[in-house]
Amino acid sequence: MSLTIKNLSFSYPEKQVLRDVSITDLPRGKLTVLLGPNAAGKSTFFRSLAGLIAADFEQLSINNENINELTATERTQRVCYMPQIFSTNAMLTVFEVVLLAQKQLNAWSVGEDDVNAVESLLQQFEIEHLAQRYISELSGGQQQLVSICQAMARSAELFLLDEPTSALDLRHQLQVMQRLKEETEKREVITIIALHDLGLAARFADNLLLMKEGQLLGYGETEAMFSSSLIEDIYGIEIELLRNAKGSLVVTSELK
Amino acid sequence: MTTTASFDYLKQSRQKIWLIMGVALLLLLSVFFDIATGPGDFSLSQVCQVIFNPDAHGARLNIIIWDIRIPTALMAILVGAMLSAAGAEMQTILNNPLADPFTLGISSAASFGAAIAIVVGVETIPVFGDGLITVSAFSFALATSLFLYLFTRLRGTSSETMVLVGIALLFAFNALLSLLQYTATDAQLSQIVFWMMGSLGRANWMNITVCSVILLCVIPVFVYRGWALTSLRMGDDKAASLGVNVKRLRIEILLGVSLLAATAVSFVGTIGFVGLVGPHIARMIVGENQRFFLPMSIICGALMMSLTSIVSKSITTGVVYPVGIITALIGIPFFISLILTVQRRSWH
Repeated sequence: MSLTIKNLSFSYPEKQVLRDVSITDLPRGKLTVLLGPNAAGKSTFFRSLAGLIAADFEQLSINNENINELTATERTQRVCYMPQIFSTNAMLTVFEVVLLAQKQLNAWSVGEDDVNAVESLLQQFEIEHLAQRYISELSGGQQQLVSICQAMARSAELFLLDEPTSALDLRHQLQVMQRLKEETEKREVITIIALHDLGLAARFADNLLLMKEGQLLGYGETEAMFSSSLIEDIYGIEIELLRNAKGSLVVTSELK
Repeated sequence: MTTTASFDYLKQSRQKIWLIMGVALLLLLSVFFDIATGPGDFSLSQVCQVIFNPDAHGARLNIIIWDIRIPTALMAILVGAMLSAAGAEMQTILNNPLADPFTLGISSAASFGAAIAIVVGVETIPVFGDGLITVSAFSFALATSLFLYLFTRLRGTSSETMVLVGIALLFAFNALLSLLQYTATDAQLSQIVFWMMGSLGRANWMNITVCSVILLCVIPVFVYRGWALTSLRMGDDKAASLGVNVKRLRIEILLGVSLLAATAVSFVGTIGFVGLVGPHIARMIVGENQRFFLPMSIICGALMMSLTSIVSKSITTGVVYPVGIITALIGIPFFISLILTVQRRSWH
């Protein structure tokens, strides 16, 4: 199973946002991190793949099957997109919203199995104590954890997570990235995570996608990409790649 | 940490269902008392007997119970249910706690339709009489909904767009209504004002049948789309990423809501507030999962109208006040006290 994109473009009436993005055989079971400065088109890229906006594709296939021709419902069963901003004033409990993602709308009754699945997800992300709280009463970080649980509740083949750690404290950032990596390997799915944190990217990513001004400028293994000058060029910074005592990649950055 | 969340959730769901059934029981009681209350001094047992055996106490009581009181009581709960269901889904698709069937100008359009029938129609085409007012009100309300629908087809279905256009329509129809009132004769004017106060007095078995049919057509659609509507409360993108066609959902629900509101308003006039408060009370009790929220809203709305109907007959012996006035006068203090006592920051 792999993801292939050929010539993805998307324009708003006055501005082209994505230009001829092509990726061949992005592998499954590997964590891919999408890097790029603000307004690089990362969210638009995700929304195009998820089918939330109508972009032009020459090809979009998972495992040689054309995804772009599926109906919206079929497509959302294969592709799970987690939007960047998740705030809601809904009077729905944490348990209910995760259950909603788990059942993915086609549920008339809720059984013991569904409840157990949701419960175990909440435990994995250590938010089971919030289960009966209304989502509107949670902090931004807690809401983000719920949102990640919702994504993990889905049985998709392609996971697109837009800055899933932006509101989390350090411990939760590491924990979430670790779990996402483990799940990606265990489920053998394709996971692309948009991040702003180069440190997290260096530490957890197997592959990197580099994007700027709507174009895909680089794609490759994490260490190789950090060793090239591409990341420095894209962000306009200087970086240094180190390995800490535990063997993890560490990135330090300076303004040029 | 091991919690028995699984047990909790299913148990909690059952508790919510029991709560809904409890309120439904209250509704049943309220309907009975509604039938038992009114001008004419009959004992509860007499009323009971006539309900089960129409001719038990002669033709006069039979007519009062079966042609006036029962239709009025049933109309109250039907209208309450329609307005509250419409309000609940309007608030959901517009993501706005202030939305109700009247936010989008539907009720103003109905009032204008009724007024134009009163001023122009009734004298010109006298055969139709009061029926013409209803038909005209309904036509204007539905035409307004269709206009909204076409507008959203052209300009998108974002909740901001819909609310803004709705408010524009509301003001437009209010202005037109004032213009009509300005030109109307005294007799016409009083008829318009009375119509707008909202009254259950026009209830009859025909109206009840129409309302029931509309309810039975629209509510299943709301139920069928329940999960999608619940997911819409988490934001458009989130719902879309779960496979909901947000635009189509909004349009479908808008049509359903319009049909409910237009029907209710054209039969009983302007009865505000139920569509706003029914869903709010339901939300406070069971939250916003549509599996519980929709039935609770419907029953709360029906109960409110039924209680209002009782009160409107009990204030002054022999006088039935227009329910539109009573709903607001009694509902508002009750509602404010609810907001003050229930500390949930749901819409902040």
